[in-house]
Parts: sequence; structure tokens; C-alpha cells
Amino acid sequence: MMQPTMTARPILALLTAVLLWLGSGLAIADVPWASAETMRSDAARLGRLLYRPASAERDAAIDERLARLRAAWHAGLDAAYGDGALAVEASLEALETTARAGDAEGAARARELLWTRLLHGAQRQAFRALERGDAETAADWLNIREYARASGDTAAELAMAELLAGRLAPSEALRIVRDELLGIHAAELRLALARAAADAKAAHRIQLAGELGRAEGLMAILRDSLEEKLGRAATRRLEDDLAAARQARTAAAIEPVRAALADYAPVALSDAERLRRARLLRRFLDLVWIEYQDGVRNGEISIPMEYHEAVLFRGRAAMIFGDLRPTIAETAAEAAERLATLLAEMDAHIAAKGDPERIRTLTGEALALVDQVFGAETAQGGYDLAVETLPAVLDEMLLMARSGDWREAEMKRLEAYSWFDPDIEQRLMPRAPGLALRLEARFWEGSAELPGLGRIIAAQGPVTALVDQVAAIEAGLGDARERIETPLSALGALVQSSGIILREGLEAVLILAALMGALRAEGVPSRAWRRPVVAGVTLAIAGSFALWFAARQLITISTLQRELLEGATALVAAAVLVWVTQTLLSRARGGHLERLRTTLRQSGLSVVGIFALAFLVVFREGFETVLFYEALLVDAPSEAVLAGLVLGGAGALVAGWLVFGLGLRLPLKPFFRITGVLLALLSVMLVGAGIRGLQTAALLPATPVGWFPDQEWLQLWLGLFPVAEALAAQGAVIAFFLLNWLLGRRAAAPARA
Amino acid sequence: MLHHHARTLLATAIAAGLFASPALAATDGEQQGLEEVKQFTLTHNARLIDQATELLDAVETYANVIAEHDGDYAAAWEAEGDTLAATIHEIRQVWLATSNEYETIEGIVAGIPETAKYDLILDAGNPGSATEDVAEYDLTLPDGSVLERPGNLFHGITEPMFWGAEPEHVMLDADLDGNGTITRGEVLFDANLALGAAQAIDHWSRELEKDMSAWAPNRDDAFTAVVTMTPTVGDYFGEWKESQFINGEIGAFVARSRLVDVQGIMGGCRKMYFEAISPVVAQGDAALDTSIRNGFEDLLGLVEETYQREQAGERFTAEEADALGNDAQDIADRIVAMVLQAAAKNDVTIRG
Repeated sequence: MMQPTMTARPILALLTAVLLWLGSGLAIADVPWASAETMRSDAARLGRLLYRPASAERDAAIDERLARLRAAWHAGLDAAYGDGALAVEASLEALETTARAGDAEGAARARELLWTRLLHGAQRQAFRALERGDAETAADWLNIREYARASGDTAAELAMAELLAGRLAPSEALRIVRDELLGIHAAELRLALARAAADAKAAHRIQLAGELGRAEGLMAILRDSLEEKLGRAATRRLEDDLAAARQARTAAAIEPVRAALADYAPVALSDAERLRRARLLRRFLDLVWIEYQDGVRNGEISIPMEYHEAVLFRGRAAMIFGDLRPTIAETAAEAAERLATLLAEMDAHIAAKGDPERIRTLTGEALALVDQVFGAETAQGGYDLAVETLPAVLDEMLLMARSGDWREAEMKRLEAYSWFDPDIEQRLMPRAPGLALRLEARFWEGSAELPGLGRIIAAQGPVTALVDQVAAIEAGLGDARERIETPLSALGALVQSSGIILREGLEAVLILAALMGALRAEGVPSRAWRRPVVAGVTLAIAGSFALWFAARQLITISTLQRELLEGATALVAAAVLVWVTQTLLSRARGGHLERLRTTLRQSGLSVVGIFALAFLVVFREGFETVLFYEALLVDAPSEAVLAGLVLGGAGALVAGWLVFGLGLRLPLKPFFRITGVLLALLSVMLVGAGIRGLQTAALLPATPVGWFPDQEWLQLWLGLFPVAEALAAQGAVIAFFLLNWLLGRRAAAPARA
Repeated sequence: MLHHHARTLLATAIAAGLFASPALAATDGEQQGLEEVKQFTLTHNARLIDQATELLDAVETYANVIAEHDGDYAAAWEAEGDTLAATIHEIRQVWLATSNEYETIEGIVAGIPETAKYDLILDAGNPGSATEDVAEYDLTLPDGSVLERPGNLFHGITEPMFWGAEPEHVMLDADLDGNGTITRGEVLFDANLALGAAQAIDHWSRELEKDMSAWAPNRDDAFTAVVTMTPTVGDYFGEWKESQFINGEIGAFVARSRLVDVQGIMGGCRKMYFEAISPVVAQGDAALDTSIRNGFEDLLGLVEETYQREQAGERFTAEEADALGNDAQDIADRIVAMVLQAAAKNDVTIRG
């Protein structure tokens, strides 16, 4: 290609300028925001040119870029910027001077100042337009802006769309836009300083000058906020420190600036945003280890992509941590400090291509700290996040399955379930228990017609069934959201509250009432059983609340662990109950009454047995009941919930009293038959619930059957699920009772004869 | 290698908290654009199959010569050195053309959840020893042996083998160019593995065509592909920095600059955006659409210019290479952030 001569160069530049001016002016009349984009792009290209050795060709290219920059600026931007034009003009001149002199460092700084001043001026114009209610002009100016690169915030964009559609007030849009931009600029400022420190260590002088220039420009945009949050003197010191760092060009000189900004939060994050960022921080930290473990072997990069992604994700984690740090520091200063140290250590270790095990240790500790700080909050306020995240996790699961990575697909299924169970199912159970159970089954065994996710993944396909099941879950989630998000009336809250206590408490009340009734009818002194029953129930209720408190504040109980706890206690309770029931039924057949009576009167072990049964049947449901009430109280009137609790509790107690009272009215034998049969039924129910619990804790397989009715009431009130393993265990218990009954009859027949 | 899974996790992690609603019905322009993207991919997929067949033919010729000497590479070289040298030259040329066809559509193939696994198998997946992004297939060789999950076919197996960069697969050092000295890469490689791998490239290219033909183009996939793949530019620049092309450093071997991969992937992203997404974004926000388009032009311009300089023999200092990568990553981050704004405004779900 023919190179332009020295004399032709100015003419070429002038022509370019004229053409650009004409083009820009025609394209956008009011706010020529596109020219600002052009300036950003051309300044970047100019900066890249200055890395090359000096040559006539390079100088020509520099002139061309400078001409384009000038043209873009004069294509209406200078006039539109008004009082912000002077600052832009100054940085443009600085860029021209330094670029022409071949001063790459000076040009790098000027380039960043130019862009940040363009940003600053545009922001001021946008805010003014919003203040006067001019949505169109504000929207035009907001085309010149930065976007959140780590957190993906979109609130400002959506607010502007709502404003333009007339559905949001300008003042509200202004608040949202201002808050988002402040957050983005603060995050970008921290990033620029972190990059500058890295550049200083690597002796990348040009990039260092650029990053410090960017930090300078962003600090100017944030000046009011910095003064408000840190104070005027501290802000001035900050600017002085930054200027000193520019001179020193060392990482150590940048450190005071970074330290001063560590706890700077321009706006308080909303609860939802804090939680979203906490989850993002977890995800990014997790990815650092995932990438790094394959990326480095024996101090060398083994898979470059993995290594570079570990670098990227650590950077993203640091950005998100920067957003969160002030919040963390308020309540857990040591944790904030430690997290910052861990991220810095990760950075150094990754740069040194150190042992992956160390990264595992560092990320592990960081994750534990995040859980410690945010665990309780994420669990309490996770519904919104859960309904939004769950479909994405299911999609990830599909992706893994499609790529043939079934092991990872299973991990994703469990992750999806851990979003569903605590955050959605707990809220859904009080309102639509049948729907909750159906949805739960879809994550596990599914039905005879359509296998659940667990079964499909275990069989490694087919993917089409997986797609169908995910679609069914997503449809079910739509129903669930509708049920959960429909505001509850006081009457609705009362009905749901009484339903919870009746459903969860009736079983325990009936078991204890029947047992106590039987013992009293046997003539066992009440002192022999009253204390263990009262102690067991009291301890179980206290234990349920203690566990709830611990799960909120001290320890992490995963969804699967909770299912295991429920399932295991149900099975132990069932074993005790089967023994007691069998004894009572034997008594009803005229069995070894005296042995039972003696045992109950004299044996300390039986006192322990009664206590254990009372404890287990209450504790089994207690923790879950507390969780259900907690979920209901999120948006239901508390008075109505309390009234429902009293009403439902009274209903359960009345049922218990009736059973207990039967012992006084009925002759012994029929009474034992009735209570025996009742307890046998409850044993069967407990066994079903226990097996089901272990299945949803992923400890037992689950095989759906088509021949057993899939009815909500059977599942909710009798623990009868259309699942082969649960039905088989329940069948075994029934068979055990029947066999004993038949043997008892046969033994009794000769005696009668 | 290309980390689709991790990228998807990242994209969905960011997007999950923002929006998760079903996509709206496609407009005419959008539907037409989506179909064009699919057709473009199928056209290059067909060329990929043609090239893969040609590659297989060349490797068969090589393997036959070795087989005629009962697997004695020294004897084969002694008797038919000229034929082997010419065949290896042909294999390398055809490999470049084959890989190039794939690179052209990689951004689209890897970005669509339904076809992403082929990217791992053909071009980007790790061996089974890795914990993530494993290429899920087993490679059966002509002698009946099976390599379980050996890694991707192009860059993991054939590229280092054909250019003699993998000592394990070198069977004999040989003066291929006949200049009297044997330099780096002048080798006879394992014919058994080469033939098995060439057959596998042919096979998986055809499998990809089947699934790509079955793909029903939709808005969610189009957005997902762009959001997932655009940020990989920084990773490729990172790998490029480690490669032999940087001044004064000898890094990981690659037969061709990683910038070709970048061009292919970013070209695919640009095509997907311009053809299929732009009609949607422009309808609601013409300014945002213009900014995204400008971003892609900026990014492709940077990559193209760097590649041209590299091809012209220019050398880059470590800082310049680093700065180019950072600039590219910044532009890509900005594009993705803007596409996420558009996704939020159009109720698009970024799929995993």
C-alpha cells in the first residue's frame, strides 16, 4: 500500500476530520454520544500505536487518530458538554502533545483522563436532565457510561426503560441510575488500582501510567461521594497519595490509596444485591480452585486456558469482594481483613504458579468465611434468588448431561435441589403441600410415567426425558411462585397456620395419647410415665428451637443433612413404636400382661424407652415445623399465624384427649385393640416418612410405581408414597404385625380349647 | 482449552440474579438472522467434513507406508523417505485447513448448549485426568486399543503430534526437509494414533453436523452463545502470550497463532450478534445496539491488526502483548455487559 508523504499527511487528516464531522453531525443531532464512543475507541488505538517503535508510518497513523479524535469532539460534543467541555478539551490537548512527542506513558494517562472526563461530563448532563424530567435527553447521555463487568448490574438500564415508558418517576430513576453508576465507578477505581499495582511489579510502565490515570479520573467522578463518606481531608490525602504514586511508580506507593478505599462504599447495597453478590463471590472463589487445579503442574502452566481463567476469576472475586467489604467490615471486621489477605495471597500464589493445593486451602478458607458471614442471611432471604437461580442451575445440569458429564450433572441436580428445598419448598409447604411434594419427587424418582432427575441421571439418560422433566419442574415452579407470591389474607394465614400444626403435630399427639392411655388403662402409675413423656416432649421442643437457632447462627445444616436427620429419627421412632405397639397388641390378645406391667413399673430402661419415643416423635417434626412457621411468617400477619397455631394445636390436643379418654370408657380389650391398631397405622406412616427422608437425603434409591395411587392426602396424612422402597418397608411392617397377630391367635386357640 | 462450562457458570451466575423469563417470540428479522447463522454454520461444517476426509486420506497414505514396512519406521524412512516427507507436509497443510474450518464456527458451536460438547471433543476439551471441561469420548485406534478420554482432537492430540512437539508420539527423528540437519519438529509420528485421531475427527465432524442440523435456532441460545464466548478472548490472548510468537520467550508449542482461534471465535460471536441478536436489540434500543456493534468492530479490529503484524514478522514486547490482551478483555467485558443489559430489557434467559 502506498504510504502518505509528510506533506500529504495534514491534508489527509483534515479530510478525515471534515468527513467525520459531517457524518457525526448528520447522524445524531441532539446528543452526539456516538462521537464519545469513537473517541474512546480512537484513543485506545492511539495508545496501542505508541508501543511500536517510532517510524514515519507510526507518526502518520498517530496523526490520523488524533484528527479523528478532534473531529469527533467537534462534531457537537464540545457544545453539548457545556461546562464539562473544558476538562475534556484539556485532556485531549494533553493526549495530542504526548502522542506527538512519542511519550507513551503520558499518552496512556491522557487517554484515560480523556475517557473518564467524557464519562463525568455525560453523567452530569444525564443527572441534570433527569432532575428536570427530560427522560429522552438523559437516556441519550447515559449511552456514555461504564457497565458493571463483574456483577452484571442492569438496574439503571431497566429503570431508564421504565422511565421512558412512563412507568417510573424521573426522581426514582435518578436515584437508581446514580446508585448503580456510583457502585460501578467505585469498583472500577479499585480495579484500576489493583491493576496498577500489578503493572508496577511487572515494570509495565505504560500500562501503569494508564491505570493510574484512570484511577485519577474515576476519583474525580467520585469526589463528592468520597468527601461525603471519607471526609474532605481524607479525600485530599487520597489525591495526594495518588499523585505521589504517580511519581514513585511502585506498588508500595499505590498501597496507601488502595488501603484508604478498602472500606469505601458509595452506596449501601440492598439486601437482595448483597446476597446476590455474596453468591457471586462464592461462585468466583469456587471457580478459582476449579480452574487452577488443572492449570499448573510442578510450577509451570500445564493448561494455559485453565491458568488464565483462574487469574480472571480471582480478579472477579476481588471486584465483588470490593463491593461487599464495607458491609462485611461493619459486622465482622476480622473476616473482612482475612478475606482481603486470602485474596491477595491467592493473587501472589497464582502469579508464582505455586502448588495447587495451596490454592485449594486458600479458597477453602475464603469460602468458609463467606459462609460464616453470609450463611444465615442467604438462608433467610434466599427465596427471590432461588426462584431466579434454580432454572439456571437446571440449565447447567442439562448442559453437563448433553456433554456426557453425568457426574457433574448429578452435582448440579443436588445443587438445584438445595436451592429448591430450603428456599422454595419451605415456603410452599404451608400453602400447597401437595404441589411441594410433587415437585420434590421430580428432583428424585419422579413418577412411573416420567422418571425424576435423579433416576434419569443415574441411568445416564435419555437426555430427552431430562429435558421434559426440567420443563415440568419449571412449569411447577411457575405454579409455586404464584401460590407463594399471592398475598395471604388473615383468614388464609390462620388456616395455613392451623394446618401446619395439625398435620405435623397430630401424629405425635396421637402416638403419645394412645401410649399414655394404654399405660393408664394397664394401671401403670402415672408417675411412671408422666415424667419421661413430659421430659421427652419438652426436650424435643427445646431441641427443635436450639437446632433452628444453631442452623441460623452457628453451623451449616445442608438440605441433605436435614433430610437425613428427619428420616433417621423417623425410623428410630418407628422401631420403638413397633415394639410398643406389638406389646399392646399382644396384651389385647391376652398376652403377657403381667410382664409388661412389671417391666413398665420397675424397669428404668422402659422409662428411657418412653422418654425416647416421646422425644423422637416430637423432635422428628419439630425442627421442620419451626422452619415452616418461619417461612409462613415471612409475609403472613403474625397475629393470624399465632391464632392458627393455637387453633390447630388445640385441634390436635382434642384428638389426643379423645384417644386418651377412650381408655376410661372402653373395656380394656377393645381399647387395646383400637389403640394398638392406631399405633400400628402410625408405625407404618413413620416408616414411610423415614424411608422417604433417607431417599431425599440421597442415601436410598427410589423407584416410582404406577400401581399405587399418587394422591396428595395419602402422602400428607398417611405417609403413603407411590415409591417401591417405602411401600416395601411399610408392607414389611404390616406383615410383621399380621404375622404376630396370626401367631398370637394360634397360640391362644389351644389355651381356649 | 476453551472453558465453556466455567464460562457458562460465570455467565449464568451473573445473569441468574437479573432475569429468568421465557424468551419472547422471534421477530421476522431475528428469525431470518438465526436461520442464516445456522446455515452459515452448516456450510462450514460441510467444508469441515470435506477437509476431515482429505486429512483422513493423507494420514491413511502415511499409515500405509509404515504398515508396508511392518511398523518399522526406520526401514520405512530408509525406503520411502521422500514419500513420507511429502505426505507429512500434506498432512500438516490439510490439518491447518481443517482446523481453520472448525475455528470459523467454533464460537457458535461452543456457545450453543446443544452442540457445546463437540467443541470439547474436537478443539477445546481436556483429557480425563482433568477435573473440568473433559472431552467426553474414547478414542479407538486401528490396532484395537482404546484411549479413554484422551483430550481434544485438534489441539490436544493431532497438532502436537503432526508437528513433532509431543515426544511420546515421536517414532523417529527424520530430516524431512532434506537440508542435512534435523531440527525441532522433523519427525515421523505414531501412525496408529494418527490414523485413529484422523478417523475420529472425521466421525465427530459428521456427528456435529447431525446435531447442528437438528438445532432449532432461538433467541436464548443466541444470547447465551455471545455472552459465553465473547469473554474467552482474554484467555486466548493469555495463551498467545505463552506461545512461541512472543519476542524472546519460548512457550507452549502451537502450529499456528492462537490469534486465529480468537478471530474464529470472535467472528462467530460477531456473526451471531449482527445476524440474530441485533434485530432484537435495535428494536428496543438502537443506541445500545450501535454501541455493541461498535464494540465488536473494535474487538475484531484489534485482533485482526495484531494478527497481521504477527504475520508480517513483527515481534511484541512482553508489556505490549500484555496490554493487547488487557485491551481485548476490556472491550469484551464491555460488550458482554451491554449484551446483558439488552438481555434484561428483552426478558431473555441466559442458558447454562
